[in-house]
Amino acid sequence: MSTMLWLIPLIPLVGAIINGTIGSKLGERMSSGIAILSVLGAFIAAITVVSSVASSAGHFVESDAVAWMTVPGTALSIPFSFHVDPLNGGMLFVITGVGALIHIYSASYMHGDKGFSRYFAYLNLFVFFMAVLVMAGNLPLLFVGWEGVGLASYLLIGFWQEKWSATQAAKKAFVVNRIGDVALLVAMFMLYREFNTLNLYGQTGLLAQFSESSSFHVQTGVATTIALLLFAGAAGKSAQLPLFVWLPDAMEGPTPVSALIHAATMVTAGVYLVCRFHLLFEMSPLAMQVVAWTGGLTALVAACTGVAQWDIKKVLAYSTVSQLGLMFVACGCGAFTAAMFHVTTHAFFKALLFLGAGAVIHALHGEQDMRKMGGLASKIKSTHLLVLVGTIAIAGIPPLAGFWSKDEILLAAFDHNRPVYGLAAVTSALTAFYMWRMYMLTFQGKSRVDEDTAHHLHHPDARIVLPLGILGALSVIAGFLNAPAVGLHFYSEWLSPVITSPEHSHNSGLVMGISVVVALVASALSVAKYKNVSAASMEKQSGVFAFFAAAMRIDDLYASVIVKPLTGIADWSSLSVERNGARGLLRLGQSSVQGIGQAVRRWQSGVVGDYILSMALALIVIISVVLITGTRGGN
Amino acid sequence: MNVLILVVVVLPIFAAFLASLMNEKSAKSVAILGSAVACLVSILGITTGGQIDRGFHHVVNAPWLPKLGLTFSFGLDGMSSLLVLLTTFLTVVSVIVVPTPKHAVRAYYVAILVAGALTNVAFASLNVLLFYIAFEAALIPVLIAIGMFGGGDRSKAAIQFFVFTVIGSLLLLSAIIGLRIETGSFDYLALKEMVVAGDVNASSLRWFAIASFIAFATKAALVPLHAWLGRAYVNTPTGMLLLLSGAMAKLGIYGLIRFTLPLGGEFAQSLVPFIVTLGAVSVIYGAIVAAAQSDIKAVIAFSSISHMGYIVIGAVVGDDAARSGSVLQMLNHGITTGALFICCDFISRYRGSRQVADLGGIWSDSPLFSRLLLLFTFSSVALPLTNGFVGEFLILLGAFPKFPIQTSIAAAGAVGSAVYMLWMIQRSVYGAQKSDSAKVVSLGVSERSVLLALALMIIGIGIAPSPLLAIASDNGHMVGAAMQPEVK
Repeated sequence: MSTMLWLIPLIPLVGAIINGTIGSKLGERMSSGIAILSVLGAFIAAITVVSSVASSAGHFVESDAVAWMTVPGTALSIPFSFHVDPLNGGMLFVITGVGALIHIYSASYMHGDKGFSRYFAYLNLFVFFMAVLVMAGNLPLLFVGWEGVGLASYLLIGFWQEKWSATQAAKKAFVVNRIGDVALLVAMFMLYREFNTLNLYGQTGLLAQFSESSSFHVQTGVATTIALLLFAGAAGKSAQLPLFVWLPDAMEGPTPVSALIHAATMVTAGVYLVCRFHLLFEMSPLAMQVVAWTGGLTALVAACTGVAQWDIKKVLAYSTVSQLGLMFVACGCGAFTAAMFHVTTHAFFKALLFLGAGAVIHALHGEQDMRKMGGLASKIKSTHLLVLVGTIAIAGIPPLAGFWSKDEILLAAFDHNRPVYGLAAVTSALTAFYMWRMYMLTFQGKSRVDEDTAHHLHHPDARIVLPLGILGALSVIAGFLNAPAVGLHFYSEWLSPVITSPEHSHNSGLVMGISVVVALVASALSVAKYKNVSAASMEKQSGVFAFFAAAMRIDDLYASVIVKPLTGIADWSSLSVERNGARGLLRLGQSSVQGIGQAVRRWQSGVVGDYILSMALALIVIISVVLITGTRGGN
Repeated sequence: MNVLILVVVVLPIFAAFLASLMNEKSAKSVAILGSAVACLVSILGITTGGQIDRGFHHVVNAPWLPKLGLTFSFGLDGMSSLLVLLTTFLTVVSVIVVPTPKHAVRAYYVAILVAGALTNVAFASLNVLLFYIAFEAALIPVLIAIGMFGGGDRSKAAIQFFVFTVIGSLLLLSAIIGLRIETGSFDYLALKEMVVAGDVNASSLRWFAIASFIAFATKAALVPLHAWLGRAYVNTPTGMLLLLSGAMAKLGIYGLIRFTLPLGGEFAQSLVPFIVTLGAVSVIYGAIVAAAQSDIKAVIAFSSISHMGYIVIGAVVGDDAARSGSVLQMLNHGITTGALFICCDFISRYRGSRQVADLGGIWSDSPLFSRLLLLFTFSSVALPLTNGFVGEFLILLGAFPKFPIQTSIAAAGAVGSAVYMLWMIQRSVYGAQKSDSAKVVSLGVSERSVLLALALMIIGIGIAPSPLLAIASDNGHMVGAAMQPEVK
């Protein structure tokens, strides 16, 4: 089984290396074929591994440890080692399964791009790093995956590298993520100081040390600090306040990338990290409050922003930020199972929506502005139907997937943190509203597509429709993995070796009732408002709308409060301090040692011979000093 | 008599001598041959062997000026053998890869070969005075290279560089002489035994600690003694710059580990928090200044201040993992920064400028080169699975328990390096193809092979650093502790 574990990341890595080196000579069929097969290979390996997790007594499988960083004479030895249990096993399914679907979709979507093989090299590289991230047996190896997916994300956001906005967005994503990464690094250093290990699993691993509360020797303050640092890392990767600003810009990348990396997998790594360390978080009520409130506020802010977007991908991007916020609400309320469940269902319906949006954009030859869409329902029928499924799922209308997973989150918030429940409930209403708005503006009403494009609509081929269809089916049924109201508990039972689910709450009927009413009312309002929307009404924007459309001007705030002052300091250091600093220090030397000062002035003639002469003189002086003192020392 | 060190040191000097007598074309061949053989021999040096004395291998002792206490005493431990290897390797790279200057070709090769050889004398020396002489003399060929082949601002650069380092060096000399007066010896191992045994008076140790720290910190460009670095690096010709930034600046760190801390007594230990703080300041300050440059060579130059800050922290903090990481990171910095300077040289030759405003679109002109530059960039920002991560991670992990605040500040430098390096990539490599450069520009054969080799090293060390860490962890300190019982 150890070999199988290695194969999950390594097959996509081989794919990435092949496409990255000789890909451009292979042609599109071969290039995309290798990429797709390598992810399918990883998917098959993942199925094998997860089924043996299910049958093993301890509910996990581990690989051998291969030396990575070992310092002789110290206790420090950090190996390459992998560990799969129910928590990351589920994620592996999503990463390789949804990953494979998106690779297939991409083969059609990226057809004709001059960077075709480079694209697949990056995409395979992403799958490699993402697998390493979730399977890592120790924190530094997790960090390999953590920064590695950041690299892949950087490369793919900036894939169209001749476009300034794309490379700008790529850089922003990497830098903002790095802020979180530093927090994660410091968390690692603290954990190593307190526990003397960075291994996650096994009897001496961090998780075992957390769970033995009797031997737990860390003060609550330290636990809180470490938990908050880990959460800061998670907030970078999973685009939470105040670090969420990179994700909307990341939409500069090709749309399948947005679906895979910036919706289904990478951005949920932060949720995985918090769930993996749930024992630590549960020790600190303060950390739990911070997680819940950050998630709740992010969810609300992003949902408000989502209502005011015209770019179809931006709607989905803010929606992703908002849904990730809900996952952290679940974590902060102790409902880690619900968080992971929402990670899974969200992966299905958000990938579906992004790929659907991609099909729309593709059909319209690159148009992303919903003001230039409308009436597409009858023109691209299969895409329309599947996006409709995704919309119903995310809007929280039963019995589709989003309803069940979101309901668990709302219930946990209702029981544990009533104010945050309020934020989450309003977010749910707004979610239904902006998603139906997106659906109506795109597919219903009169067509606002310009004549030329309308006559040459690009119809999706099988490689686009098949992944959409599978994701659509999953978005319908995945909710039944964990639908306690109808007596289904597969998912919480599956996770139970790692995470114990809270007791069944007696408020579930009430919360579910509110959720259904809220979702239906918000959906109905949205449909009514955007049913016959006129082109003119889309142009005039009130102040509040403009404020939300510009994402509450948070980017501008950062630019004037952080970026501008730092640039000023950098310019000042460079232009004043560096340019004159050396001279200043020399002047200091001049005034104190006059002889040297005179010499400096003489040397400014700039003739090379002079330096050599002075050097020789200096050596003579030095040697004579040595001779004199040396003899004395010898006596 | 062990010939290994003599070959490594004497062969390049002999090659330099031959090269000065030959015509320009054969001068290059001789320079390549001499440095390549020295490099191969120094690889043998990292496999242990030869005469062993108190933890040092390949020990040589020959009298020179006995009255002065000056002897040819050489020996290598893990740390110094890695640094000798780094120096010989960078010498080969700089004679192979960088195109020959248009005039005075022979002088150019002589300067590089002699600079490399003298740096190695310093790394391998077990006589403190011999170390000092080599430490000082290695400056001469650098100054000559700056003066003869340097950039536009060369005279100012040379003067500032000279004055800064010479002031530091004179302090170091006075420190060494002070020790000699006190102990009557220049022999490193004997001095160390005396200091460990507490036979040396504390006030002369205090002066040694302060003076040698200033000298070594200047060499390592620790803020605020870095002021010479920017102008010097930008104006040094690339071949010599590989040695100056890759190997000679490491003499500063090496000096801290080898001399200042073990011979500085308790007072040197009490300086550690101060040095660590300066290291953290260097990390951040270097990153800030690098971010404000518009010349890509200056970006890399100032980034060195930041990288050296990490290495200083690991060197002095007194943790075995951190110190081993620091030694490894000296190697990594030589490889990665060397590769980046070679890339700057390539760009400035084919674009005729190093200013970002004139660059952009290199990816379309030169895809292989751009991919390699991207890899070097991510090594420089210490992405995991590259060499840079291993070194920085071990340094920070080891330093954190004692200096959590400084370590956290230094860790934040990771954001800074991403800012300036990715900015440089965005402005130079990405972007639309420039109309006046719409031709494919490929790397020359030698440049391509050297850059590919460096790329493989970056990944290789990133994935499997343990063999090198095993060597790096043999860095004198454990030897010092082990010999304590023997000394009365």
